Amino acid sequence: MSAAAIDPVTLEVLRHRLWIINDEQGRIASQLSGSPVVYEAKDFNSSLLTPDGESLFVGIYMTRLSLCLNAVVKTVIASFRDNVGYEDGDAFVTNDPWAGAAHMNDFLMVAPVFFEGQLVCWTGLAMHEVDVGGPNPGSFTVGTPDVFGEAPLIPPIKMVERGKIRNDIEALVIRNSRTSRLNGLNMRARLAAINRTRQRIQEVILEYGLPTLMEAQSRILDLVQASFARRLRSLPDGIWRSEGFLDHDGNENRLYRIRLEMTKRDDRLKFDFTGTDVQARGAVNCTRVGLESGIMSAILPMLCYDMSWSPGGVMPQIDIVSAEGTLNNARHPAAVSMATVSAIFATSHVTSGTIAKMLACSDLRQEIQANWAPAWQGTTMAGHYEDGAPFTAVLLDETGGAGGRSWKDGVDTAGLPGTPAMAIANVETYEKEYPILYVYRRESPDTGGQGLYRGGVGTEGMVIPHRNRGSIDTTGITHGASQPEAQGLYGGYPSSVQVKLLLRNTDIKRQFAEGTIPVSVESVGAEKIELMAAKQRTLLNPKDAIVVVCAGGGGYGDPIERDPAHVLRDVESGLVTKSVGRDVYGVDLRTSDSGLVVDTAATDTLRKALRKRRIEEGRPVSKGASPVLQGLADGTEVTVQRRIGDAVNLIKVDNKKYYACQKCGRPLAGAEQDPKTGTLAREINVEVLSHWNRFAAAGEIVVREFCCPDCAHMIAVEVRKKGDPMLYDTEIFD
Amino acid sequence: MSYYIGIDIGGTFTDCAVLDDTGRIVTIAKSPTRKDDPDEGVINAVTAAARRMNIEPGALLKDCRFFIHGCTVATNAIVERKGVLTALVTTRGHEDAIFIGKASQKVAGRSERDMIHQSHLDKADPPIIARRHVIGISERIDSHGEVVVALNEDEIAQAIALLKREGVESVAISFLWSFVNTAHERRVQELIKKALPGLFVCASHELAPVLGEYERASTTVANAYVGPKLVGYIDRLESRLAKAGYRFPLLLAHCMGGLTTMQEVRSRPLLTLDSGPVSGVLGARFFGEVYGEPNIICADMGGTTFDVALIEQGRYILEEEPVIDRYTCLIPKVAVESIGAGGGSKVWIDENDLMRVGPQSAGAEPGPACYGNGGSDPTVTDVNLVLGYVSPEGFLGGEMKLDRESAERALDRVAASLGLGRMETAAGAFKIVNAHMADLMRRTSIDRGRDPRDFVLFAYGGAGAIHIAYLARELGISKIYVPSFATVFSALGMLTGGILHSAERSLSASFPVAPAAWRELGAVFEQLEHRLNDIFDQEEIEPAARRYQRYVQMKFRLQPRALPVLVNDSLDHDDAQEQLIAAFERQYSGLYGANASYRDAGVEIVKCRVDGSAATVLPKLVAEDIKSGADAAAAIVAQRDIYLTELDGYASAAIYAGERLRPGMKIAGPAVVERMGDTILLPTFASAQVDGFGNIVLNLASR
Repeated sequence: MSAAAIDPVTLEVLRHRLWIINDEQGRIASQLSGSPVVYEAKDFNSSLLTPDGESLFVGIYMTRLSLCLNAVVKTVIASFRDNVGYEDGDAFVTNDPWAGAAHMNDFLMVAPVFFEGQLVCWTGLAMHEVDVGGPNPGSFTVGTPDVFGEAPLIPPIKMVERGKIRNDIEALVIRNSRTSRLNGLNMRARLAAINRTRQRIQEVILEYGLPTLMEAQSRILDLVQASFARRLRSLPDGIWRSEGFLDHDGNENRLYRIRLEMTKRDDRLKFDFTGTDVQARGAVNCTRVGLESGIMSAILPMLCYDMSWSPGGVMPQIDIVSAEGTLNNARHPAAVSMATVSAIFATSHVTSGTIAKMLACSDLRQEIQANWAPAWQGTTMAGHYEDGAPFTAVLLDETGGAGGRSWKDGVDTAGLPGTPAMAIANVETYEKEYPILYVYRRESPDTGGQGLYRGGVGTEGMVIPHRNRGSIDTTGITHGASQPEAQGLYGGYPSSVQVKLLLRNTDIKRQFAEGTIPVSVESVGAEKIELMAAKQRTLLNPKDAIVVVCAGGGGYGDPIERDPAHVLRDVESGLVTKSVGRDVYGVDLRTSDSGLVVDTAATDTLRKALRKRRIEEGRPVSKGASPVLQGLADGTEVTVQRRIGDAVNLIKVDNKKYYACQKCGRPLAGAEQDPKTGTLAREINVEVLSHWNRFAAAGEIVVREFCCPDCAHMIAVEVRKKGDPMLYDTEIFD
Repeated sequence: MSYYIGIDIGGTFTDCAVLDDTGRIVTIAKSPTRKDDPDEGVINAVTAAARRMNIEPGALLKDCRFFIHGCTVATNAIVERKGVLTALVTTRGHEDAIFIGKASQKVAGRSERDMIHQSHLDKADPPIIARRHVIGISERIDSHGEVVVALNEDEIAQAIALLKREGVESVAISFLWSFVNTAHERRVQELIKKALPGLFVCASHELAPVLGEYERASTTVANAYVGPKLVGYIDRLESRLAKAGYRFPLLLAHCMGGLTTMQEVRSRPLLTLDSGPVSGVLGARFFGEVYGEPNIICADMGGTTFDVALIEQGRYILEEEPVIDRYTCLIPKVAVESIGAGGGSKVWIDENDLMRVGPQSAGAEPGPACYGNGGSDPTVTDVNLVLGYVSPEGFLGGEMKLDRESAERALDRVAASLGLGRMETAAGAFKIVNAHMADLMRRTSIDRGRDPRDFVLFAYGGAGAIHIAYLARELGISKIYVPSFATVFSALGMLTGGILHSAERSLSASFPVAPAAWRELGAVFEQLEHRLNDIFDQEEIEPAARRYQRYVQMKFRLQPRALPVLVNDSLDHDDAQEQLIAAFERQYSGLYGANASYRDAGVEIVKCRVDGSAATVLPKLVAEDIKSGADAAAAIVAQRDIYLTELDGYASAAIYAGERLRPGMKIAGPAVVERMGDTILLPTFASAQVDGFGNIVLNLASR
């Protein structure tokens, strides 16, 4: 077909209209679904795609699924164009991670949209199912070395033929699930959404004509590509690095490393994951589509916050270097059932951290944000109601905090990053569906990383079996249980670790009978308290309780520069404990007649002492400091070239460039070195940051802080594996 | 002679409309809104109306039979954080639910455009309630309504002491599962009322007896927060009106699209949310009834926003969970959707060199470039001036002259960076803002599964009538009503509403429903009607005038949302269950496609609702006789060249003076009608006739 000329007004109109169509199909699918993980936690996404399967728009839901639909459409086109074929009214489903699904729990439905025999576009929905079979209720499989021990894979298969559901295929698709009726209902929710999209596309064509719509699709991608390229050109060229860890592979607790080196040159962005650990013998891996979606889930909210979310326009500016057979680019038959909450999340996490460091070197200071909580704190449960009927549940009922910003604290109990619309369901929603009772659910103090602007805190919840029969088969899935994983920025501390505790044989029912409600672990009498591993399957017995604590976000900036009034407010609100206020923020709070007040003089003394300690205990990062590190003579002419976060400035003295402390001006490193080179480093005890950190694997990880040797201004805090060198994380080309 | 007075307090003006007992509009008046002292603005508007009628305000009020009021006091109290010191009493262990806000509070009520800006999302900041004023009480009820932990009365005594100590002015009570078992909430309510008489106290089981502890608490807290303020204001107004001569109870417009008395608003002040825009919808529905138009899209374009609502089969669409400044309020509200598109919306160039319009507005200060108050960015009003639709002389009935040269200069700057001519640019901006408005109309109609071609359009507000013909054409709508007095349409609208109350109750039942439970369904409906009957009794509404409509909310098992299915017939016959399921499936398939229905999942009922209405308390508007053959030429005051986008060029248009138009007169496009507060553009494809109410009815040629 010849390209139709399209005027800018029509283009703008159609851009709007197609975005709305995609959003509408997402909303319909979620509202008609029967799973709280979909209609509340928004673990799904929708996409409109070009006839070639490029993603024109992806919805505001789970962006860690953002490239899955386009991968499936491309698989369908490649595999079926000449064989099975696809026609008007057809729809294909799959849950195969090597065909585009993120993990087996996500069933994707894609459908071609035709007009008078011509393929106009594709559309589709990815949606998490509570259970898709396999040995582990909820289908996140603990204890398998490979994919053969997980839920069955369904490669792309035509389930709807010219508008009619094929009953034989549908049976195949839902037969293995513990929740087959629910899965059947959800299939229809996807179909309802696709029906609506077909109707809408038809309306667009009748109004504007097919050639105009076809032209608009490619123009929209061009526009987003141009916008994205322009955004990249506005940012400095350089290299930024981050490393993240994934603890526990479902079989043993070991730390897996994801390493990212991101290079930005002109209008291109390269993500190099060389150095990432090889794929695990356990369910935490993800396939290539997960790697790409993980990257995209950080790019969209952090760099495309003011443009259409069109992955098909962004991808052409991106290069990805990753070796097949690694943790986030796993080869068959790697186990991948936990991909969305493990390797994809960790990929998203390091990518966000790296992009934040790049933004911190740019004019877009307002966009800097430390890491959000590192991963979902998930629990799946299966057992029986009191009448003996079985149930299977996946609880997305707790949430972490957002990372601190360069201008404001991170949002408390904020949900997951890259999933703007997600919610944690009301406890009443879960109590209605499942035989459990929430003893409490609250915001948990000291779970957010401290900083000039602190990370938002996470939730803490306690659940007991209620009105059930027998024990509940329970699986916990998370990471960041061994190490604080939401890293801070520029002196901000990391979040706490994520914690799951099993309280065995408790006195809760007795307390209830006596008219009291315990609201902390300490106020419950239990025979034994077991720390759950990051991935563990266990039985929750009738008198047991499970406690889930979510990490918050990382902090931003030096905590001892935080406004004491804000520390007071946080302590009063129960988001920070008094001891952390004193030991980490250096704020002395006294009780007076009008309640808590800041003792200003004592606070000054405390903060001085903290600074002194940093310098006394700190050891120079590099031995044999060069002359530039000795400070500048009074009256030296210094021009500030670039501000980096609230930590250092890139300065120019006599035509040479250095990094200098932003507080006192002392040069810390040459521009060709990492800014931390001239700082003092010390390792800190993470238990000071949060009492939850007593559950961290202290022997394996270290938290190092780096401060200016003159004024003790904190430049950076890093979470590393014991023995790791300092991370050379900022290399600016100008 | 008796009068009917409608008062709408808007952001800028307090509007007043007065009808007489024959239903004729006697006069309209406006007075600046007094934000800190709204009753003063109301009295001023009434005084202005009396002045236009050449009578004393006291005489007008003495002869007034119904004084009806809509306001934004409740909305503003929340948005501007000007409510009272409020406490929340809730289940121990769940005190933070109101702050956690399900994590999604940070995006509640935001547009997609805002939601994708992750670094700038925040929850309600500051919250409308302080943490130290959230009091947890040991008590627990489970999902079956059984008491798991008995209510701890010692803790209530402590709570009461704290309320006293802190000087709390208003208390919200919201316990887990209180909608299934109300005992604990009722007991606490009783104890607090006894200990602290005069305190405003409200409980979630009364305000929002539905599943979801966050939304219940949010609603109850919002209600408590605005309560004393709103009730205080209305009490003040009522006594001022009484002193000034008004002899009857004050009636209030509410967000569900009807009128109610102080009685109900005293316990549910949140009902008055957005009652202004909602009243506009009321007016449109009333006129729709008069005209025999059951399906209406209401389009209200003012200076900064464009509000759209739908009336279908004579009924509004109710939004079950409206959001006010991040707080979800479970007070069903007539769905009015809004975007930033109005006369003040700015025309600008984005980084892709594309022309954009809005959502930023030049506001009233500095306003459009043509106001000459220093605004240099072109706005929609400037565009309409340059295109020739708005007369530099005719704006606001000549009270406000416009500076065409400033508008041109502003537009030329945009044109230069686009490499386009002035008129091309203006026409482009006109098309873009139309496209945004049409999108909103599409979202409001088509996205709800409604075909706009089955609707007529009602256009009101000061800025809409220029664009409306194009919007109609875009959506395939062929008939548009532009009411007379379009600028005070909301004040007029509330005069046309009936008294409307609603009562609902959670009720879970899966099909097939056991006979006992099925009978309970009937009993619940009767209870709900009984409750409404009591309210009507207090309002002295004639029993014969009371109307009830029953709905069951139905869904497939496990789904979160239900569809309201109208129950027309008795539930007492053998195949009543099957018929109800069939009605539900029909509705469901109509919305989502035949292959989307799935009876295998099970069908269930979650809620019963009864709407009670009494429509006869207000007079009907009376139309003037239409004189056939009345010649509109007498109303032509000028001939002007206007630039029309459908021609990509100029056409000569007759300019009509609105006040000279008489019922029956016919106008052919292209033409412009200039009225007191607005301008109506008839493009080449439109013609119009003035009806007996002085409303102008546009007809569009089929495309």
